Amino acid sequence: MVDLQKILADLAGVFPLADIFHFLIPQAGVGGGVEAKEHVELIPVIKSTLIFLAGIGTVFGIGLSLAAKKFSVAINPKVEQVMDVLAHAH
Amino acid sequence: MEFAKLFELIVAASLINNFVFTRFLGLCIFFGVSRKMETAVGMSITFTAVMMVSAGLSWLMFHLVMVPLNITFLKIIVFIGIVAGFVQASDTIMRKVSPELYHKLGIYLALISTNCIILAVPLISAGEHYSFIESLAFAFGSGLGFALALVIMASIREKLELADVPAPFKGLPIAFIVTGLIALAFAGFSGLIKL
Repeated sequence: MVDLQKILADLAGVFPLADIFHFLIPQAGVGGGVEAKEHVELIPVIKSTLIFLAGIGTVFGIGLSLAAKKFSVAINPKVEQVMDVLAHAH
Repeated sequence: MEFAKLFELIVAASLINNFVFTRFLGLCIFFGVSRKMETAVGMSITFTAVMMVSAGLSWLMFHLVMVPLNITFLKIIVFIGIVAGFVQASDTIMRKVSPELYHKLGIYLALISTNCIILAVPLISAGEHYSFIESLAFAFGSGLGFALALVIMASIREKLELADVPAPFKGLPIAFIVTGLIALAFAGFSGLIKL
């Protein structure tokens, strides 16, 4: 059995450049955060997914429609008509 | 200790891992609004505000609802929904409550909802297991970095309008070249903080 960590440590000893890894090096892109699981109960996950997505959709939909009603701004239709008549060069 | 960690997060997000110059995210808005200093400043202010609020909302949703329900794999779609819903709500409310502010900053709101930095920040916070305060600091640093990028770029592009640029490079091509050069300069920030 080859010990990968030991090999990496040996390599880091060979190359003095490896010292730069003690610094915060720039990260490109977005990644990480995925955790592996040994076992997943499929049915409960599907259930909670459906309930969660339906719930969040309902909450957002009702909230946004209420907000649109409560904070509605009356726009004079003549403004648009006048804009249409004018040359579109503004 | 806590404050030092937050400061480190802000510096790392704004300078070392600057979203525009190191990760190359959010470039469409970056090139779209950096032509004039006025739009760049307006965009920076709106962007940082929206970023912090959406990062906070996403953190709450992720840690209070999604982690207990074991559905963290939905984070991309849920974060998109949260950002879009929040931007739409603030657009509606701002139009009624303060039409002046809406007139100034409203045009940027619709652009922000489709930006990839605003999605990347909650995704990275979730991936790195940041606490609530840390994720707010990370969002603030990212907004600061984006504002810095926009202001640098706008000031250069305003001067470029007067410069004698070869015809094929006029406009966007020279902006891309300048961005590459600034990105090289930002590579100098790596190693600023010793871990």
